[in-house]
Amino acid sequence: MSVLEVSGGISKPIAPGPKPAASPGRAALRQYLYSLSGIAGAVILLLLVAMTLFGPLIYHVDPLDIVAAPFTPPGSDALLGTDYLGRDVLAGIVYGGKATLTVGAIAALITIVIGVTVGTISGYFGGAADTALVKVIEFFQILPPLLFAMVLVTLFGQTLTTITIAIGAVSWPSAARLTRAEFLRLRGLDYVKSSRAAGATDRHVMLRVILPNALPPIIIAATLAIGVAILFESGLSFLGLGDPNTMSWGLMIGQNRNYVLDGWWTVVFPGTAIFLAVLAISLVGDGFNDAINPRLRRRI
Amino acid sequence: MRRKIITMLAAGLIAGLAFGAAHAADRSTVVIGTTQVPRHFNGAVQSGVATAMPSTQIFASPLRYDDNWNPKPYLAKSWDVAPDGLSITLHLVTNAVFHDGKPVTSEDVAFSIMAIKKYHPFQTMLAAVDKVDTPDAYTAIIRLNHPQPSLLLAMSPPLMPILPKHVYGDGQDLRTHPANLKPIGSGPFKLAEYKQGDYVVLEKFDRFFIPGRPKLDKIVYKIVSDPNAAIIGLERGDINILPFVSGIRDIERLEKAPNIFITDKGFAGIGPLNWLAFNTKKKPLDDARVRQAIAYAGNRDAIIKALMGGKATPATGPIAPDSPFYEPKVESYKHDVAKAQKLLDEAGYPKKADGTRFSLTIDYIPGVNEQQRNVAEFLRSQLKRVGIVVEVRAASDFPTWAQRVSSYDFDMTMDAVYNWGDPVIGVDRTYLSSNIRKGVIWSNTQQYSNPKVDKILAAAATETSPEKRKALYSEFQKIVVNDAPIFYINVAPYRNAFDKKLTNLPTTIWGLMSPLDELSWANESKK
Repeated sequence: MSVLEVSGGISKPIAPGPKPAASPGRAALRQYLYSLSGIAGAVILLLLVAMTLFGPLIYHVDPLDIVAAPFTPPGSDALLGTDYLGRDVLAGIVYGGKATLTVGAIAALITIVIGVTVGTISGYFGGAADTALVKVIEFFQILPPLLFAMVLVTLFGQTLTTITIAIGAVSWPSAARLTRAEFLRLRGLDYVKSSRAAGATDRHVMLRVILPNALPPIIIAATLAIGVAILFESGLSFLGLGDPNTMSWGLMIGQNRNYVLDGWWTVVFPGTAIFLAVLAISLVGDGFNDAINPRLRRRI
Repeated sequence: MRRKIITMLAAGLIAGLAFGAAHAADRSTVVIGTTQVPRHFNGAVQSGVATAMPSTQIFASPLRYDDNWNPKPYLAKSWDVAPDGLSITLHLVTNAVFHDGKPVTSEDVAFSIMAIKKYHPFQTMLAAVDKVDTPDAYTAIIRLNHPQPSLLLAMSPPLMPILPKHVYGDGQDLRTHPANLKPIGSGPFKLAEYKQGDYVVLEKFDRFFIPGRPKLDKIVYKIVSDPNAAIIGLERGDINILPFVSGIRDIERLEKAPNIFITDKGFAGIGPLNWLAFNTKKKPLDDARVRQAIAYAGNRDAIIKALMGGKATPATGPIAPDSPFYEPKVESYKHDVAKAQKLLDEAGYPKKADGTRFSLTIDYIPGVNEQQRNVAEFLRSQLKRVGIVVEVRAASDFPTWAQRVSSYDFDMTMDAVYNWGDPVIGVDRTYLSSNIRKGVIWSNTQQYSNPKVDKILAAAATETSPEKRKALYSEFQKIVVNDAPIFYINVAPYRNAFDKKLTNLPTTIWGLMSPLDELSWANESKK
């Protein structure tokens, strides 16, 4: 059974000890490097991150500033052309990446923090607490997430902060369910029972015994959540609910989509950027899965 | 196989014949596409284009206008304004009847005028009217408390539909009267069918009081929710007239379409202005020099050329360029960055170490991106160059925007306001200090207050000499443009698009908001 494999594979060194040894991490890394797609994803992602971090230092053009005539095609005036106002598309890509990737990362963080907290409490204690929390999770799950995020953004204003929080607030239920399932599975295992028998507090068992063993799937989910959050931000911007004061890839598509026939470059370049970012993150998630999942490990 | 081909050919032939037949029947019908859904058809209690278009076909009005602002006889065959300006006598035609066969009399005119005064949203329109006397069945004398020369324009088709007293005078509230949806008027067309949110069918009224009219048998207002679908429908010939086209790319597309005639005539009456309004009570915008600086930095010419493809007319002041009261000799705020910088320095807002002076927010009406959002974003970029940091505040829907602006929770906002013909009807409301009414959108939300302007507008509203009146409005425009509570940008680039085979097009100042009794299909040469 996979249960045995998990506990025997990665969890054993972590479970009772106060600090995991270095070797499993290194083993996972080695494992990750075996995965071609994982490497490809990591490389693309690093390139995109490097572009958003260092690009603004090299390319000094305000993405909100009007630099040339509207719909100047890619060329000498503007390397990737200009949009409907005459703003530089390349500047938008370079500067907009920061907003897009930050929204993705922070929204994913919010998703995971809320999800893991709710899932941990629900899965560990069970009973009435579990029933109540599962109802809450279900309540959020039955709301169409994009619609719910739109309502939040409409109510609290179109700023990047609200958009980030809104995405986090609508995406946590799946993380909560995942964590809860892991806890339900792990809490009956022998090493958990023994640690409880040894007099460990609930807190200790939850955070130091079960949670580290439940982490692998959560890490993968978190990685994928970044990709989903980026798509979410793009979706909201596409529907006209982006923050008009912060350039982001989603905003570029959302604002320019009416003009796609007048200037394909206004939409294609940011679209490609989003595509690459989400693809890279998915590949990295896959790589993690390969590295952490003991079943796949044996194949190599 | 061959059989199949023959069947297909036959099917094609039948379809072609059917199409031809339908096309022939179309010769007496015109389909007008519209994206706006009318709440009802009673223009006496409801303003707006959606109601006015069908309402002006169903109801006749005392006067109508040509394309040069001249009043023409309609239900009133003639009219006299008393020398003291305190009464207007209407001599009605004697052969006009309502769609139910009852004659149109002075009683109906009196009833309608008092109803409009009571219920119509444009409260200044009939402000001077005291009562209407009816010495005989075909004479109505409008008695005024003070002269109001704008009254003649207020008798236009979209503003003064004559209602039958015997239908609407039954004591029910006119705003919710059941006959608003089953209207009976005396106009060239009568309502045949209305499917809410889908279509309105109007049929020729056989006993219309002008002989030989209307030329058409039927007008169908087809409600199309998607503007793109409306454009395609027009190109395909499913729709014959598309009013109020304003998208730059739509206009360019229709200008190239071989079967379409597109014109900017027909909007002089409404005078739709697009502008940037300032909250003149909020620092630093309380200083006229700051507002002027923003106007100098704004670059109206670039907005019209680059953002609107040169399809819009520049607006230079509170009165639209098509109006007879328009004064072109005002400060034009031609793009001048140095002057803007100087004005800001003088106003006491020097550039700080980081190159900025102060921050402002700008709002815009959601949903009309080309006229509103794009201009707001353009201005953000322009104003940055003179050290003003602008944050664009998006509103998710119209009520959110209206709430912010009418409760003065804004620094600057893009806005679109119509002149509605005479300044008294649509212009005064934006500048009179008495119209600073919190919570009312399109009142004086700039909170602009200049006693001199108040005085001039009050005088112009009652001035009966056209020359003197024009001079007063001239002065008003110069003062307001100088005080700059508003940076005027452009006239909304509205166009009416017609099937090329239609003739006698409605190009009067009210365009499609006037009776289409002369509109017809051109005689085709033999088939």
